[in-house]
Amino acid sequence: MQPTDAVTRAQSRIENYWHADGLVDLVGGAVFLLLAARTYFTIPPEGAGGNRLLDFSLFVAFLTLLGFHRRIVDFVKGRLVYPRTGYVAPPPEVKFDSPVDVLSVTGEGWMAQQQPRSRRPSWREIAGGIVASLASVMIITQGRWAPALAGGLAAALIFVLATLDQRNHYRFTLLLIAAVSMAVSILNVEDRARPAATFGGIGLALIVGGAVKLVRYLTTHRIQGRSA
Amino acid sequence: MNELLRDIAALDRVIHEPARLMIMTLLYAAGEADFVYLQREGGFTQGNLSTHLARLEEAGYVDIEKTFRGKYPLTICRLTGKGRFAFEGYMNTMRGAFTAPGSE
Repeated sequence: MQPTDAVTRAQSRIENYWHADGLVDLVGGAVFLLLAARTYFTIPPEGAGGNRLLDFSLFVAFLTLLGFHRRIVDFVKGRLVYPRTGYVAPPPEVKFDSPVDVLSVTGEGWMAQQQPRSRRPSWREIAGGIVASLASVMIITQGRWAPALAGGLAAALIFVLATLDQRNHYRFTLLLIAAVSMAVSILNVEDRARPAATFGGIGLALIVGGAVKLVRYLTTHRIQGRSA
Repeated sequence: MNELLRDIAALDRVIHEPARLMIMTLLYAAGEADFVYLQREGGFTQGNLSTHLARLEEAGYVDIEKTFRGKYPLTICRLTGKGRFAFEGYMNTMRGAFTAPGSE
């Protein structure tokens, strides 16, 4: 093994270490739940102007959690994780160059796999994702062609953009679901419970997965006493 | 003596020692890490790690900062600019010396 291989491997382990305790999943899940709440309670027709304070509060909470998620995670890790298994600088922050990056941040918890950062998706994966996007939108819109086609194309576009920086299949799947939900939300399909339920489902899945990881982590690692 | 052998002879002995090479590799990859993380990742004993970190600090390759996170103490280690430069030089020398013909 060349030294550069050892460096790459160490970087990969550091990236996994950031996700190993489930805290990122928990925060990501909370982001999705806020998104679900906002979608359900404030999007027209029923939610329109009904409660502007609620709308504003949910929006601020969503942005705060999204903007400070790393600091929140780092703060909690300082109490739970670093005393047990040590501190290492978190992996580089995702740059918000496009809306896709915002989605990818909430999906960070799903990225704790062994794939190197530079991995590119195969054409088969991309084609499969596009077909799945179109099919998912068809199901959500219950076969109505116009919103299905528009939503599917939007989802496929977001999906292709997202795969340019993808790291593994979990992110692939998460982005697919999020893109479809976003497309449907933008198109304002009457039943706002559908996108809200989708966001809520993703949020709950992240939170349950994160909680399981955290409990497993806390029961297998004890706080160490040490000095340098 | 051929040029490559001369390069090997000139390798930085502070880095070349296996335990210190592991520490340098971890810190190069991480940017910064604390004592507990290095100990776990490298499989060091406390005394062993302390000794090697002291040697690297003495050479100016590693910067050690003692701080607190909440009520827990953290001994954070990071590579200095000099350490980063020395490690990259070490990697290049090793790569140049042991790359098989036609593999580049």
